[in-house]
Amino acid sequence: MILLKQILVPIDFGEASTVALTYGRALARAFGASLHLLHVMENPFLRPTAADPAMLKAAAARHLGERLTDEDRAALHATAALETSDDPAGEIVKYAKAYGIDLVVMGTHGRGAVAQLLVGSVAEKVVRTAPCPVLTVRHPEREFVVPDAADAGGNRKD
Amino acid sequence: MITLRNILVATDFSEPSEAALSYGRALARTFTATLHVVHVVDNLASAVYGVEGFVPSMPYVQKEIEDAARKRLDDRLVDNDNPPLPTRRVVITSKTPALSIVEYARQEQIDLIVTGTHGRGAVAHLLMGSVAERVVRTAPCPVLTVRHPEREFVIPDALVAIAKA
Repeated sequence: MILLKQILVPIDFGEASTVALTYGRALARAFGASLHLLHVMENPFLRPTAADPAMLKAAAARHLGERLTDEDRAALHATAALETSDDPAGEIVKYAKAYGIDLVVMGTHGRGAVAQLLVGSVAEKVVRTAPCPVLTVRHPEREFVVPDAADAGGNRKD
Repeated sequence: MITLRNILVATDFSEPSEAALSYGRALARTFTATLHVVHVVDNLASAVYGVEGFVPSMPYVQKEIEDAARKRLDDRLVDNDNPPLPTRRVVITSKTPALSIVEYARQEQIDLIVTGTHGRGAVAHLLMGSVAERVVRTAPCPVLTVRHPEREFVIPDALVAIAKA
């Protein structure tokens, strides 16, 4: 048997990471695991930008927090973390090690025939270096992802 | 919510594959899915032997290899599960394992592929198994890659059986 107690879903606010979150949530429910969300920001001090870095950070934190429902926080002990780094894959792996993550669920970008050959470089690096198994989820998926809202009535409660 | 009705574990009988099988089995049980355990054997006929190198006994050798692979799959899937886990043992003969696995996944409407990757020390750590890598890139469904040795949370199934008894 396997133990899945800590599940990490890195969020880059792309659609693929939304699908990944659906999987992470379902697996956390099924295995009674805690859900960790992590967004890695590029270091705003290293790039010219018109916006105030502190504001950017606050906005990212707010967006990240909005991904979690009250049920996520209550039933899945979901937490959202924000890190700043120019090496997102390295930061994700570092987080996985620090928090004893048992599974990373992450989106890869699949946009048409050409992009199908290119896994997101971040996902690829995480697959190669993570201390735990990695579930890669592409978007758009096969049509078996039912929106969470449609399923709200018939949730499996294990 | 997600649907996991058909889970494919691609195995080459290596240790990472064994770890992958543990995950596949646990997920199949949890989501009451059918477990497809797939092994790809080399296709001797398409190997480059040159015309003059044709060996008349090749079809027999090929069949022996396939039978041996089937037996090894059977050995892996000892049915001590209660209730029994619906499993399919599949041997595919091909020169291109990644492509065959992805094709099978398409045909059988697989919802999740579980595959092992080799992690042997610092150097190999950087190299994903090329088969696993190709599967991740081209699969029609999510792919779970499991490295061995993993963190120590893989408990042998036998121990679980004892604990349940």
